[in-house]
Amino acid sequence: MSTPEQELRERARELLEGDEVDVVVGYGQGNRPDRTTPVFVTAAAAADQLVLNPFCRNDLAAWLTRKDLRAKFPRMAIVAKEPDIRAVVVLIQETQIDPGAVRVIGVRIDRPGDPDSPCTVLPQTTLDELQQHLRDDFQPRALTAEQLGAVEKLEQLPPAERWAYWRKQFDKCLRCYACRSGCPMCYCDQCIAQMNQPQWLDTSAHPLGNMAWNITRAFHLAGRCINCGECERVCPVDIPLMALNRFLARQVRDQFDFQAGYDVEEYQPFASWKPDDNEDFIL
Amino acid sequence: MSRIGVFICHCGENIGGVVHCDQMAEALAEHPGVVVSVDYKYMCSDPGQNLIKEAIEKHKLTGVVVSACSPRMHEPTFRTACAEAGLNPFLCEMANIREHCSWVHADRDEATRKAIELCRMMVEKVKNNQQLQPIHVPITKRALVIGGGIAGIQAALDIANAGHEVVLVERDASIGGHMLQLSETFPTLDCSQCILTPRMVEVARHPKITLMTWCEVEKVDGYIGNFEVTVRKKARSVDMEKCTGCGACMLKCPSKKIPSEFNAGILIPDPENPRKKLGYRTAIYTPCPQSVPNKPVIDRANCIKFTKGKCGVCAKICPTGAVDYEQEDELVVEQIGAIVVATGYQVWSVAKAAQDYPYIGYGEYGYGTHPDIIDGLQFERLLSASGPTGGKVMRPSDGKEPETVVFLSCVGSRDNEKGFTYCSKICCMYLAKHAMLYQHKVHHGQTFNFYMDIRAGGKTYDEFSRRTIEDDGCIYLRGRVSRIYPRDGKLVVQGADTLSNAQVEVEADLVVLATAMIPQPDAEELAQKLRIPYDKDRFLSEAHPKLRPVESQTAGVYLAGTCQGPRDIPETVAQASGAASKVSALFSADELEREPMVAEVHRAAPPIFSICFGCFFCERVCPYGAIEREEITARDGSVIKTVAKVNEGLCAGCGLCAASCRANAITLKGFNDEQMFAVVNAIGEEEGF
Ligand SMILES: Cc1cc2nc3c(=O)[nH]c(=O)nc-3n(C[C@H](O)[C@H](O)[C@H](O)COP(=O)(O)OP(=O)(O)OC[C@H]3O[C@@H](n4cnc5c(N)ncnc54)[C@H](O)[C@@H]3O)c2cc1C
Ligand code: SF4
Ligand code: SF4
Repeated sequence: MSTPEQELRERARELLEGDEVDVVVGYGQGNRPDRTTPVFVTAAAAADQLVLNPFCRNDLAAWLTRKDLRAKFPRMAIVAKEPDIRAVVVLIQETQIDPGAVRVIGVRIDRPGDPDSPCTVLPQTTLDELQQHLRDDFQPRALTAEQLGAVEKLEQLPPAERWAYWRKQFDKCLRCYACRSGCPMCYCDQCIAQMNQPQWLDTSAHPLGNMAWNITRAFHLAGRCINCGECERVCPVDIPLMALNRFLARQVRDQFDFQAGYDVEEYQPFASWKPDDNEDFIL
Repeated sequence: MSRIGVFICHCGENIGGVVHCDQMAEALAEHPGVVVSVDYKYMCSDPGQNLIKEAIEKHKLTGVVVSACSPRMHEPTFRTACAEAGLNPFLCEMANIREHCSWVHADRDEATRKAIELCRMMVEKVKNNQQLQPIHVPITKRALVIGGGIAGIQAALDIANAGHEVVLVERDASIGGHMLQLSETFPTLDCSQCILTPRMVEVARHPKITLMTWCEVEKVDGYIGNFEVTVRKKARSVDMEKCTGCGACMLKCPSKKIPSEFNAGILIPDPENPRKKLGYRTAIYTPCPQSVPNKPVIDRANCIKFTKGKCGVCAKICPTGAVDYEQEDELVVEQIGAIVVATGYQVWSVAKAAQDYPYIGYGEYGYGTHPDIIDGLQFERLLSASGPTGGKVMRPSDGKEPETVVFLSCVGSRDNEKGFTYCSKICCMYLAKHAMLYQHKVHHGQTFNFYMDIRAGGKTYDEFSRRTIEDDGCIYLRGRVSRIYPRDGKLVVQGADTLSNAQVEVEADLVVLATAMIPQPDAEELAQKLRIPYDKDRFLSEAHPKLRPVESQTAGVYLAGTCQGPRDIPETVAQASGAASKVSALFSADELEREPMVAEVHRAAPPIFSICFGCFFCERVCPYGAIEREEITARDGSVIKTVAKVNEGLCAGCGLCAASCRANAITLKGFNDEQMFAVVNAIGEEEGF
């Protein structure tokens, strides 16, 4: 019996040996036992660098849109946790990656961060099969009760208090844009935050600009966020960004019966139109 | 430095009655960059426009703001005035202080304050306006007419007679549409076929018209002046070149029991052989003897050769070897400059099961269940000399001549509960016609007409329906029918006569339901192909209900006839001629001038090349299909990036793409980021927000 980690390495080896991909982007051991770091495996012999454990936290899908990487390695494989597979689906829909040039090694980590959590390599190998797996098995457990509770708690606050809450949170923002760098969906060549003619967003870490940046970021993810939690995880000042993202995701689900990243054929409500779309919110 | 002129209109009392225009002019005169600010009673009048023109010359204005009504009303007026004075017309903007201010506010001081602010916003915008040049697009002078009913026929002939090429696409085997099925037409009782067939023949013979029957529009690409239309030529199974239209095949075809669509599905016992019925057609058929072209098609669903593999009689009998079972659908692409949609209507038909329809139906009227309850179109066929009975009125159940005929108007029309809210407009008139024609044929017969109102507006229409009542003795009962049921070989019609406040019961031999006129079953699908809007009842929408009744919202696509709403033949013909004259006007120039307010995708310096990163949300949201994909290539030809590109001919300037772009890579000319930013920043400037 091979361990899931061995199985993962074997899969990577096969892809590289069969010359199906130029690189496998996966997790390697970090500088502490409870940390992992992205590794880029380009030869079958190096596949043993890959690890699979509950500390594989990054969403590696963000690497798929990196131009420098793509120029060097046109055909990429990535090790993707279930939310990260959703990211791949959205990136394909948004024509950021060519489905023919990407392979996904799906993994499941039951309780990320818990040293005792089981980790498995998903048996599905094609994107179609992986999407089916997401719809059948992952969708129901994509959002934990705790995560939902945090959204609902905020939602129940009176508007003035909610505003005060977010103001306080956003006041902390350093404008380091780590959230943007970690997010697989933030791939614009030139972010609107950098535009200066006219300058819609004040770039200094000032309450007004911070508010504008954070609201813009959240809105740009409405119907696109795949709930990987990278932004919140990488935020150095612990702004609960996912509460905002999840709130919007739920609105989109309730209004349009849509959740991002489960089906390449089904487009984001912002980029599609159906005759029976809900329009209760139009006055 | 900006030199802006502000011109404030009183619009008589419309604005002047609420907004203090003089105070407004004073306030704006103080605004930075404004060099002249005046108010006047009617800016759109000649003296008003001259004020603007003179100021442009005298003060060397770089921008003009007219504070008046909606730009939808007078923007062209003022832009033209500016152009006449030598200022690029797109440096002129309007601040709407009528609909957006004086009409909705009562407090004079508050309204004045708001009007000043609206005007300041536009002054700030104009400072950022750029000179734009109209877009010129070439025009292919070839029209497509979809649907060959009277509307399509008329439009095709008018356009062709103006000297332009026309492609007429009809999905049936013959042109003619519903008018070919009618007996005689109100209000003059001309024989419908006699007045229609000469035009059908003219279409077929016209050197400028390419007639494509048994064809359907598959796909529409392109834009006004430059459409590319893919037409599906359905397999006819008969070679049009070889067929002489002798009709030998139709006589011999053994598959004879197909209810004829042309006869609206009505079947009448044959008096000569009661076991047989009249009203069928064969599998190889033309809709009627006057068909144009008079060459048959094979209905493959009912052809024995196609269903069972045997037979082949028609191929054997055909003297010219025209029958071709191997024929396949063919797609042809046509270059087209303008499209006239004339796809007509259908009647809510008794011949079809009511549950097929998206509304509840009239079970209590025995809808579709009793053979002697028929619809208006079926009665037309009974009255018609070309109908199954040769024009003799016989009832479907036993072929007897009906002595009492009851007509019901508004079945499905004007019925919010079970049908449609609208009036089908033609039924009052054709029921009067039906009663009259029946009476002319069956002198001892009696007719009853249950109606809601008699709607007989139109030249000689009221006189016509009066004749039915006064000369032909039809009994008009104002009221609805609650139930129809069979009893002893008769149909009992129970209803109310609200004028005498009595319940009435009529024993009828035949009941005719004037069922609603509804759009073609595929109206929605076609509208989506053409990217034109339709209303809640699926009728195609005109661009403006009063001022642009024959244009659709999409430039270059025009509407004719009943596809746009219920109407009779005269109105249909008038609208078709209207649409044709729009097409001729379009074709009168070689190039088309369009407003330059279109979207554009920004380029940027390397290594970015374009802010567009190719998510193509814009492509999906654009209702006009105006977003194309463009490759940015390096010197060696390798693709650096695939980005969005706007087809200026198609873009309607709606701005949806700009709103959908997360990176602001796409903006709308005349409404770009700088302009919008300036407008937003001008809000509340005075209050120090
Ligand atoms: C019972 C009855 C009696 C009437 N009596 C009178 C009368 O006496 N006097 C009068 O003025 N009016 C009368 N009318 C009204 C008259 O029939 C219509 O006003 C007229 O026929 C409308 O013509 P049209 O060309 O708009 O539509 P249609 O006659 O319906 O023609 C539409 C044509 O388009 C074709 N088509 C549809 N969809 C497509 C497609 N997707 N692609 C290609 N081709 C397509 C159809 O096959 C058809 O040939 C009567 C109507 C009814 C129901
Ligand atoms: S082959 Fe078909 S169309 Fe021809 S005669 Fe036989 S049944 Fe009729
Ligand atoms: S402005 Fe509207 S019509 Fe023009 S390209 Fe954008 S979405 Fe399409």
